[in-house]
Amino acid sequence: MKLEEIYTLQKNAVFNLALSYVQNTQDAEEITQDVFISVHKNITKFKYQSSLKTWVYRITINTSLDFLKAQKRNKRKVLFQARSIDSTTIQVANFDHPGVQLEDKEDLQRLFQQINRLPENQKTALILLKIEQEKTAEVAKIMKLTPKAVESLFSRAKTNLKKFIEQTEGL
Amino acid sequence: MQELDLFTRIKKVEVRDSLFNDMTAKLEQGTIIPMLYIRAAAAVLLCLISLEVFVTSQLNPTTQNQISASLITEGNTYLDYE
Repeated sequence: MKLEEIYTLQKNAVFNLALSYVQNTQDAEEITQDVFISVHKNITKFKYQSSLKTWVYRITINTSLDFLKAQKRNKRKVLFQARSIDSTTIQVANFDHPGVQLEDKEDLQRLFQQINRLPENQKTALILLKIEQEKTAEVAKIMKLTPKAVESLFSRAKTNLKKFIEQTEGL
Repeated sequence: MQELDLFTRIKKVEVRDSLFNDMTAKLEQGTIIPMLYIRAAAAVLLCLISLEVFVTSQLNPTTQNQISASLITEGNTYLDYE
């Protein structure tokens, strides 16, 4: 399969998934490019043991998480230089999700802020199940886990999220 | 959790058309050495330098003098004229 064909088939899925992680058009575009560059480099290693979608999703998740880690490191540097700015200020300023309607923007921005505090695997389970609306079995394949483990991760994500929201509201 | 229902209101968006061309241009630029490799190479170099310093510091003064002496003898070939 050629890169262009894979790109045509998966570009929007990759872009939307990346958007769920970074909530910013520019960053999601950068991740989308990096994902397909990675697909291009590794296509010979793809053994068709999983579906192409599952494989591309896995690359997208890893690329997005790497991107966020790099972003976190850069933010730490910026914060070190300018201690008066706190991390939430930067996060709010970066929120630019094109799929979010104006009337929901504030609520979703707040919700994403709490989701960004979740551990990586809980965040991934939540994004795939609730935003991407994937079935548990499919999420299990993508995350290389059992469906029960995915359900457990999702349950823990919800508990943590509830705790974070209560903490924020209590401030 | 009711808050999670908000996610159903997020619309799927399409990626801009020119992104593919931007990406192929990036691919044609050739291999850009990732920062990770540069850092790894720097770490290996530092390790080698540290090892060298450590090994040298572990030599006793006699051994150091012997090494120095052997180097001088090997280098000073013009003394052989006498």
